[in-house]
Amino acid sequence: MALGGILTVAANLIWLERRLLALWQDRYGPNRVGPFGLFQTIADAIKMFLKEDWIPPFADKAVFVLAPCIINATALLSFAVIPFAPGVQVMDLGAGLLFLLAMSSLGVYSVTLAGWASNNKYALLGGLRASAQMLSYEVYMSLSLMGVVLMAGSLNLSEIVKAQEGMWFCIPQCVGMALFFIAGIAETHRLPFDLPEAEAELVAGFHSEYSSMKFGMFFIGEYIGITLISALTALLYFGGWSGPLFGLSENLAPFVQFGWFALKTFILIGFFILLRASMPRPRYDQLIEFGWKAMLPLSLLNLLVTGAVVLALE
Amino acid sequence: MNTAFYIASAVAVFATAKVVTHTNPVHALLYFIVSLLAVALIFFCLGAQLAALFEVIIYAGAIMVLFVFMIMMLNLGTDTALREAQLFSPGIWIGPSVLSGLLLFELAVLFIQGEPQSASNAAMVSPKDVALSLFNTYFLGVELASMLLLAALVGGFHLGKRDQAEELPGEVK
Amino acid sequence: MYEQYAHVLIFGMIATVIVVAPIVLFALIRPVRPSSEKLSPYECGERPVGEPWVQFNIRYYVVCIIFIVFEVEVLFMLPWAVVFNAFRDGGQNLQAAAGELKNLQGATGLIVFLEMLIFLVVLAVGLAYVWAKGHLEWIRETTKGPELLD
Repeated sequence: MALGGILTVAANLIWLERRLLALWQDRYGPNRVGPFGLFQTIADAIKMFLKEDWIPPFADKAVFVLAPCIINATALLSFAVIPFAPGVQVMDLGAGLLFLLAMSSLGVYSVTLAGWASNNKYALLGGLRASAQMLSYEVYMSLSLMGVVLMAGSLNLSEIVKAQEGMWFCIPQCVGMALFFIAGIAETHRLPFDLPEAEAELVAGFHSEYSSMKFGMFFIGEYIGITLISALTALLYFGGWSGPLFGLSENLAPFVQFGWFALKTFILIGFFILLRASMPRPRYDQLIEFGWKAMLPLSLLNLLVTGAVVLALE
Repeated sequence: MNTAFYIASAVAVFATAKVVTHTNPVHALLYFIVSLLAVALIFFCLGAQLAALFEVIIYAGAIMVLFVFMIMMLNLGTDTALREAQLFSPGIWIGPSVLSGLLLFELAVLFIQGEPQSASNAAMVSPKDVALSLFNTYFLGVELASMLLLAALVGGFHLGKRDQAEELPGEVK
Repeated sequence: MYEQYAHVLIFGMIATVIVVAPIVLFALIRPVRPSSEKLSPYECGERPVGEPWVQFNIRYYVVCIIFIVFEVEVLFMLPWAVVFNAFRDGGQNLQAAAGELKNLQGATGLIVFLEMLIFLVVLAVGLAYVWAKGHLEWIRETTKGPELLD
């Protein structure tokens, strides 16, 4: 159920993104297939299924097939610890946040191996860029989470949501939230941080040689990643399933709580897409230096200041 | 849980054997990653959630990426695979195999004599328990670790420092 | 306790089926028409020159090493963040949380905070050192002019 939901959401995000981008760029998006072009995704999927699916003879075959599977497996597995509403989750792991970090660190292999196995210069460079970027921004992501963990005193996502009963963490942790979201964009290598697949310089980066459903898996994997980061931001900083009236969320019916969670997630996804529509792409050296010189010191400071404030408020 | 433990152990042993015998370095590394994940699962079965996740994050997720980078950087291609294949002539592997076989036999004897600890009677250790002892009893170790990390940080950056003149031909910048 | 892990197993299996099924099923009706042009590596229509598995810049490797250093650091800090609150209120809700590990040995919130402060300062020294040395610049000025981007 949940899985089908996630995949459908991820697939229809492609439609949503194209429509929203079109809206912000003052043009029509896909609007021919079905009402408002809603069935565009289905048409795309059928097209993708029916395309020739070839493995280049110069590629390392086993690794070439494995790479797109990794990105999907890690992204989908991450959803196992996401609580959609109180008690509605696949696995209530005590160290849920760590599990998410572990999954995202395994996701790096997908791009590295895809770039290597393709045996193509563009793909190798794209894969390298992608892995270096994902590695460094993963550190900043986990560092920026630390403030939330400190305030909630738990690694369990449900407990973190419960700790936000009085006030959503987006207020005391606004710096952490900004850092987390930036790192999340870099982690999913979305625009403006889509340097691994900068089409002007690297064709399509690590998935240059991929076609048909294997390309589709990278594509879907990217959108699952966006959904995941948005859902996480909603959970960690915007109170998850609780409504805007603090303290009343306990009495809500589960589907209303799920509705709040979904609404928040979708607003954040919309923000993701808005960023794509409005931000230019930085150079690669700017990206890496921004990480070391801004993200890293800021996230460390954020942790220390949070700790000091929590201590002082005693 | 015992079944999960045995399956994970079998996977770990098989994958590690493949690491040693595989001739393609990248494929061998992939088996290595699988082996580490299996070990993480074993930790999990034994009730050490945190250790399992750390194993995945640090070993499988970080150090192995370094290995993959290394192999990509050294540009190990088909000739390496051929050379590796030649390594497996009996004269080379028989000696070490006999010796490690002896060790394995010894281990088996020890296990049969002693009471083997079953995986299922291990208690779950929550992240909180680990953290409490880490920052209470063993906090000196944490500070020492920070010194070690400092050395690693400086050393790592110095590794990357290199004059333009030394750069190898054919390098992509 | 372990029941929920069975859910994960089922979740994982369904995920695998969903991902693998379209590839296997539609492989039956997909066209397969290879040609020599199609089978060459894509380089914008040019014939590829040289080995594609090239040696690349060592800086990617350095990024990886730094990543490991900070990842280890993160793993020290996460448990700290988890128990910080517990130490702060003098271990009142610790009893329930920690079971037999009640012996706090007089550790208070301030002491635990200072522990982490020392930990971070040591690392900050390292970061400041490499920053001052200019190792954080991706493009480095050398005697032969600035290095090119990757």
